[in-house]
Amino acid sequence: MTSGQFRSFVLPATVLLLSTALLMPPELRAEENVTISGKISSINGEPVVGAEVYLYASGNTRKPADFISPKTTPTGVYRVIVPKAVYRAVARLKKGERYGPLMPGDRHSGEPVKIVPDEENELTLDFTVADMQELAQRREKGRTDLAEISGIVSSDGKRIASVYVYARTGRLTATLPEYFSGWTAADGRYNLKLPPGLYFLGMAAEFPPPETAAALKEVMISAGKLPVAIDLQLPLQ
Amino acid sequence: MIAGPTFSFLLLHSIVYHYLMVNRVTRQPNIGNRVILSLILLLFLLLPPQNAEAAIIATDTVWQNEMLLTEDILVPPGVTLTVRPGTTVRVSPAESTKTDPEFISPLIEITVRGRISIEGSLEAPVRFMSAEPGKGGEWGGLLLDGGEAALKNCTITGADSALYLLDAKLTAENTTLSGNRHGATVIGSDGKVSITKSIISNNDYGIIIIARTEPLLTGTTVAGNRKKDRWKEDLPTAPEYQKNSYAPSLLPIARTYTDEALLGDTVWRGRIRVEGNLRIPEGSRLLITPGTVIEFSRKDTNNDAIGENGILIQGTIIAKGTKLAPILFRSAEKSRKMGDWDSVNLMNSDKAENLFENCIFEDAYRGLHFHYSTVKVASSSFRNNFRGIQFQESAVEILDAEFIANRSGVQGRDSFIRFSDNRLFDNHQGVNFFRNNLTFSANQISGTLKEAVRIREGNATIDRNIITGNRLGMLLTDIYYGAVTNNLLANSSETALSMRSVDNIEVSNNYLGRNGANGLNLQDVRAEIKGNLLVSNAERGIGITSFSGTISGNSFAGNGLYAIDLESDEDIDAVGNWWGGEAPVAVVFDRQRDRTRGRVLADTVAAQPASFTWPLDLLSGQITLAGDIVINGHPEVPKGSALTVSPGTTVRFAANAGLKVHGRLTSAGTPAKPVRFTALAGKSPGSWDEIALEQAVDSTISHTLIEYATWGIHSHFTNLRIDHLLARQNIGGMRFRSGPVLIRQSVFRENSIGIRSYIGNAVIEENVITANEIGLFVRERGSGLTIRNNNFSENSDYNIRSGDFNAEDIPAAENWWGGQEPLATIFDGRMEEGVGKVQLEPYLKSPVNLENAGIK
Repeated sequence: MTSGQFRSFVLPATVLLLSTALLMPPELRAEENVTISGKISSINGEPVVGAEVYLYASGNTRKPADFISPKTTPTGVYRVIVPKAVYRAVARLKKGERYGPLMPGDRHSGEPVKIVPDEENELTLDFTVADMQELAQRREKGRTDLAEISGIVSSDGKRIASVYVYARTGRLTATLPEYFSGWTAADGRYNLKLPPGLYFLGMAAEFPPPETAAALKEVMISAGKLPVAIDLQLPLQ
Repeated sequence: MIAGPTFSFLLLHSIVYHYLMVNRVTRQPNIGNRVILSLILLLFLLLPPQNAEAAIIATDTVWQNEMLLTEDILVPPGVTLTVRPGTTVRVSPAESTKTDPEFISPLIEITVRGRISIEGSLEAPVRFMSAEPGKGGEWGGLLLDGGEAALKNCTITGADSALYLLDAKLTAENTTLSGNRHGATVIGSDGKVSITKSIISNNDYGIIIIARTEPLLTGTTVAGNRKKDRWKEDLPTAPEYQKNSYAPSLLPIARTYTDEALLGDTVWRGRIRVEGNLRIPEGSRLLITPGTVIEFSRKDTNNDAIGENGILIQGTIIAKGTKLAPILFRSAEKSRKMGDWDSVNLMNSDKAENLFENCIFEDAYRGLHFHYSTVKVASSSFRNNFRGIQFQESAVEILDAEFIANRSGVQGRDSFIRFSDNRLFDNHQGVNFFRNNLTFSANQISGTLKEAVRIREGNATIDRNIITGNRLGMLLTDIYYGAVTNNLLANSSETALSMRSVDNIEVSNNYLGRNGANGLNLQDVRAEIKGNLLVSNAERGIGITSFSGTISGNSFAGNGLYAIDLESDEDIDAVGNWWGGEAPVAVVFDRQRDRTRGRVLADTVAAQPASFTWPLDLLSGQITLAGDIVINGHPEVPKGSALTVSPGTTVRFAANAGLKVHGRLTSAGTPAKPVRFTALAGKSPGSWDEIALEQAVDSTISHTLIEYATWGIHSHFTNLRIDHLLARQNIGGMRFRSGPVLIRQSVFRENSIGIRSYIGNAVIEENVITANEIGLFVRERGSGLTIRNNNFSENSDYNIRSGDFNAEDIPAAENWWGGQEPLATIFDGRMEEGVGKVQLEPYLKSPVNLENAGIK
């Protein structure tokens, strides 16, 4: 390169780049970037090659993505560097156009995942992609059979109306319970449907129940057609 | 493979189709358009009919030449469909399984909410017909749902109802309605129908009028229809209920949502506005607290007059209102209309039970709509929606809910359903279930303008429902297993219970009475029909087209035409029924009257009616009892209802049982056939409770026996007329408060107290009051009584006892006191100071001739 070429092209370009960098919004400056990487697998756990991660800067994921990762390697690995920001991410394996509806054989990771970068500026995020139609069909065949428990709610030997029973899968009360019955009538009877498993039952008169610690009754529910009778004598929340 | 000429033909066809159906020939075409139209019309002559798919006609549209409809057509408000002279519209027959609630008929139909103008001429009339003509009823018809129609020189054939006019405005001239099931159905309370110089003939029914306003038929012939030319029915009526919408106290809007997804747990409180489609993805939950108001703005991008904003639940929803603080889902518009918003939709939501408790859904297209989900709806209300709830492939409980003034209450298919203790009033259609495992119990359905209950395929247990005051009661088709027991099916404008292609079903202990046509219709039915009460139906107790099974232990009485009308040529087994005191031959239509028909084998005639145990807690509607009735508990005749007890009826009460009347009671005995109210077991006073009348306005009791009760009659604030009553061996014959009460030509005998008055307003005249402990006890305020021309005798304590709290004198002149010194038979102020006196002067020296008092 001659000095003339340098003056006429490289120098102005450098000045332009520097000034552009200075004028760039902070979120697009190099030091504000974040690296997102991970592995994309099938529902059988096998690596998926040729898949892409789509990143959206808003909650609207039904539009062209703001960023798209390079396609995954034969080991299913992807890596993308993007300005540091909050994103919603989905993984897709599309055979045809990048945009538009999923076609038969295309795979998708389902609900968008919210990404909030931390101070490390390095994030690992794995996806599982599947054929949505196939997934829906599997789901339909395996529709959840809920077991039913039923009984009387009482306190101090008196049946209680206008309360409900809830079931938690753990003893922690900081989160909302997973399952709720309807309000009891004057006879104190409740009915609650839930998948078989181990639960902690409580009862409350206000909805949602307060987060204060409550007396809970531990029960194991098995699959069955007939309601399981479980009477509850617990202090009210 | 498409050959060249065929391909050209299809291409040409597609161009014409595109022009006429996609762009649709709209508004007034300009000259250029007219030229194009002429060319197209020329081409069109060479083409087969075009298909119109399920279509919402969003702009003004013209039909002409040949049309083939293979799906429904909807003309929304503000849009006009014009049909040019010479047009022929053929409609494909289909028993559709479509689920859209905005259509009225299950068949293919043209629904008009806007305007239709049919411009036939004498030379080129317009014709609507079935694409595959049959007996009539292959397609739905021209259905005006609040819309407007002007018909000229038009012929409609092959429809279920050629014209179905629901609160519609119609002018028709030179129109022929022929070869349909129904020529015209005029329905509703707000329509105006004028049919001029037209012909309505050769239909099953010519014109059906279920409307407040009579159609104007000028120079129109309604004749030659197969069943009836004209059928007039009262508008179906529902019992009194809370008609006002819930009015919450409105807070400022807490949050507005547009098109978005809510991840994780979201809890709603206060007032929420939805201006888009909100989604709760799988794994996420929406929890709604008591008192929350959710309002949906109206968005109608396809101009079909139905809003599109709503909520889609793919996770779980728990909407837990309370009675005092319900959760309200409704339109956000100032002027709220049916269909302003879409629905709360659930899809594949079966990981937990979704719960809607004390929720109110108003102004929606479908209040709730779900597939593949587990849902419980309790104590909730659905008002003014196109459809209250629609679902399929789900596990569903709908309990203690009300469905008021919706176009359609509930529709569900391919599901496990428990539908109990619900109330459906004043809907156009009630419930429509298809291919379910169904438990349907203790529901109340009234005021429905079409079928209250329609159940097709699957199996069904139908028990303890009250289905009264609808146009059609219950229609069961293609049910392969089930039972219809202990239901009240009454006051339908047409038939109460129709069964078609039904197998392995028990129909027992149902009340099928006072319906406008038949109590029960049977077509291709195998069933056991036993212990039902079929009474006072305007036409038939049972109309049979074809039947295999047994009909036994039923009571028939007072049916207008026949107890059983057998149309088929096969004999049926109907031994052991009670025929209302008649010989079977007098009330059965079979081979004895028409040699082409089979025989009703009713040789064994029950001398006594079979006992019919009243199956419910209510005697709701206009109910007539006949035969032998057993009462358990205290069933109630609610306000607005009326109970008539036919001559010769015996009502037997179990221990402690009684009757509560808040409506009207008519005990209509005659001298030859008195009514009897007696004990089921025991022949001593107090063997049953009482007949309690509470503001039971205009009740009457004539030629009636009441015995072995605690109190025979216990009346409060009721204008009650009693004549020829025999009240005997009760603890008390009768007690009343207020009135006015008239008691005459009656006998009170062998009771502890014959009559007891408390602040009474009554005339007691020409009665025999004898052999009681106390003939007449006046507890308080005796001055309101007029007691005259009665024979008091042999009452062991007193003929009249003035109570300790009665400070007023009791007017009782001109009575006979049993031949004793009158004052010796009376306890009053003469014996205890401060108590009112019986004013007995002048009194009769000899008994009044009352030999016809009471019953014989």
